[in-house]
Amino acid sequence: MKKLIALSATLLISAAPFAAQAQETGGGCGLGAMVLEGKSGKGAQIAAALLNTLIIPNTFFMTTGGGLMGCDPTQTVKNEEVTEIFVASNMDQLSTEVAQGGGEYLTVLADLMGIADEDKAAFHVVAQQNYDALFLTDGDAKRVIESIETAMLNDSSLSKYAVN
Amino acid sequence: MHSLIVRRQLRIRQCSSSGILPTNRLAIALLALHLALFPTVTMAADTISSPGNDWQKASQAGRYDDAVAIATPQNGSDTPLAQLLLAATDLNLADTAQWRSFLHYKPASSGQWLSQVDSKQFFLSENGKTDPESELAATLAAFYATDAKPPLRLSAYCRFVARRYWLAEQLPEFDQLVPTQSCPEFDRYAEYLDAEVMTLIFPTAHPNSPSSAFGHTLIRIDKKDQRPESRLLNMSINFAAEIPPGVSGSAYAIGGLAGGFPGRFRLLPYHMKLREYGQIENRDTWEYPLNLDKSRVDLVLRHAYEMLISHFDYYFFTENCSYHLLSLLEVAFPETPLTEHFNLWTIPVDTIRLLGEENLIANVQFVPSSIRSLRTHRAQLEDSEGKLALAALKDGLESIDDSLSTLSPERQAGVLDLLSDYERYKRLKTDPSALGTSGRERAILSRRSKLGVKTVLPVIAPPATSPDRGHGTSRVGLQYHKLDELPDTIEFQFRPAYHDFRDPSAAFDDKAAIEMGLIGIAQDLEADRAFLRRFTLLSIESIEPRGDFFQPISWHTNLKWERPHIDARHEFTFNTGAGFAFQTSDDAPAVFVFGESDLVDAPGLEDRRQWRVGASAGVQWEPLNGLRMGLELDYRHQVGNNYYEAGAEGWLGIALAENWSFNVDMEYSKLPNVSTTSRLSAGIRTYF
Repeated sequence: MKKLIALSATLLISAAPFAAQAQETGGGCGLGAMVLEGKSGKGAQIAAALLNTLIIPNTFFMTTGGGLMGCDPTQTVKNEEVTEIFVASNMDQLSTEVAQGGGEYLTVLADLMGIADEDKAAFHVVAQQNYDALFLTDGDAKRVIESIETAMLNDSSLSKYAVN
Repeated sequence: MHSLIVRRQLRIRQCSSSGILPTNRLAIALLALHLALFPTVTMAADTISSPGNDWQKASQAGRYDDAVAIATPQNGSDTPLAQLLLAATDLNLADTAQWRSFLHYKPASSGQWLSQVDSKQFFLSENGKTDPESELAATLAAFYATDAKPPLRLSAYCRFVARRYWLAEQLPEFDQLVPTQSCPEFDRYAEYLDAEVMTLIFPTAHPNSPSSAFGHTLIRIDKKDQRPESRLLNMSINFAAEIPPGVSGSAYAIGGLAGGFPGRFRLLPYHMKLREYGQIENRDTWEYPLNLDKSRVDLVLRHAYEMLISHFDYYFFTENCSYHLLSLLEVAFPETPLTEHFNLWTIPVDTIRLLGEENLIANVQFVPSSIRSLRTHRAQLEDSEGKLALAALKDGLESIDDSLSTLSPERQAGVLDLLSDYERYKRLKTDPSALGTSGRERAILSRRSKLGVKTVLPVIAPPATSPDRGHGTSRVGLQYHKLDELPDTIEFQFRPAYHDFRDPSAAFDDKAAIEMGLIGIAQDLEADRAFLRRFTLLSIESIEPRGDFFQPISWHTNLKWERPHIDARHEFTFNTGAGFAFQTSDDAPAVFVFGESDLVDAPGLEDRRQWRVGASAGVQWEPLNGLRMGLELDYRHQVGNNYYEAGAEGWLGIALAENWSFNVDMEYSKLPNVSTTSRLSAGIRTYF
């Protein structure tokens, strides 16, 4: 039957019916009541709900989607967010491509990690050789990225990328 | 250990309440990315003259209409705002297509303007929704406020950037008369996007889901000279309905059709959308880079920035994703309003066609879905190798150890690649939110990695015809029916949407059909009178062949009224059927068999309300491009009584040109107490 979709709207709008005061959404936090405590600040669960929404497909008639909602920020962006989001969202595709010795998503990761074109082939090989270290351990995107760095350290042509 | 990336310690408390919200690093990272794009900032206006002025106080307090009233030149004031208002009136800016495009004004039946935007905070004037002039005046007044007016976070100056840029261009005095404010969030947005080209993205239908045949459109923001793979990292703009959880199925359908849910623009990394459409939903995607120069791209993105805070009531047929993408692009083409072409309904592929007609499409690219890739991989393997993968799927990797070891590393790699494809497909089908690989997949991929072989991906040929080149979404036709024992008829048919098996199959999925609103009016040639021959509210058919891995259930449903001849009464049928289809190869005939159930209201029969069950079986084939044929046998029997219907129908559909087709149809029917009757029909259809 029809799949029901939980959207980040649920957090943004859950306290007030959406027909009533629509909240500003272009970067606005939404509802203070749903704010998480803790150092990371509010909105993490909004982002999480976003994921739930994004990944649950919608079928049957309407296209729905989630949205990025942010809250009052205190931090500035660093490229690691982009990398981490990319790896976390596409973990299975990357895992497959690492095992297969290369692919489009792995190339994007190499780009994000600053690997020059002439070193990409070595990057793919090193990643493939270290598949187990990268993916067989229980880890999230951060751990995967760290593991790649560790693996690169031990390769003569790639170690330069793993040094600050 | 050194690290490429500076680590940031983020600690959060587990959100315990609903259980639908795992806190995890990805969520934090996403948040951080978004925070970086849209930080709140405290604004310091550079200069603002003494805060004692009433009109400035009103503006700062968010009472923009009051500020306008106070500053209006008739009141004898010569304030900066008054000068601006005068200049704007002189130029009649409020009555321009450009201004109306920013506010999404459409003519209302009353003869006035009505904005399609449904968020109060989008309008700066109390009358903004219906009055372009008040809105423009209030906008000018609002630019003097450094405070944000709740629920907005930013001042109007920093939120309504498209309006501001345009007004500053039109009014030479603007820069001297309006104090500048710094808007770091917008600057960051523009810098991060670094936009050069906008690409229209069109995911087509899910397999076995003809209702999704209408597809979806979104826009990806591409950068200058980007590498092909980098497009995955670009941001995309998506318009969609937002539905709270706990909405029942019927509320979902009714709400979606009738504007019960808000539709919003969202900014998201493209790789996330591609995953959703291409991998989880298994939809092929077409990419159409648009021919907009940079200044137009920037204009659209400034307006998209404004739109992020607002919503439109979402109407599935009319104000849907594709309609509002057009309304977004329209700001770059105010003199040729794109949305004007879509009054009754908006079908995504038609919006692409329109952009093509306006010379806005540069070229087209195809991105295969996961399922298409999987099928291509399978086709590359030997039959025995494919079977190995399936055996491992069933009995585990170890069960094929011996067989694998007889293969070369390259062939082994092929088998393992296919196996991991299957495993992934199964995982996502069961749990679309699953992000990482399963244990089984990891074991397979670990083994695969040790082979040290590099997978060479086959080139997947795109379908010969892109979706915008298929036949038009609406059709009209003339059909001549020759019936034995009954007068001949000529029938005129009109069908607003979308595609059936007799229509030219180019650019369409030849396994799916969906029709809405088909109406047929026939002229009885003997009685010389017309009658309503048929009305099909909705008909959906999906014939998906089963294989050794994919085992879909084919299905169909329809709701229709039919009146076989002028002296008959209309018969209403609600049909559902489910069954199996088989096809040995893509070019071979597809054979199908269905179980059928009909709820019928037949006023012409003694037993008016009937439930009939039965079966149908048949074959469909397209032996040559543009030549389709089918044969179907049907049987229905009334439950609990004696009525039955049996029939056999054969048809031929010939594509004459992109938007013309010819069809021939022959049918035999048998009803109780009546000898077999036959019908021969031939007709022409044209599409637009």
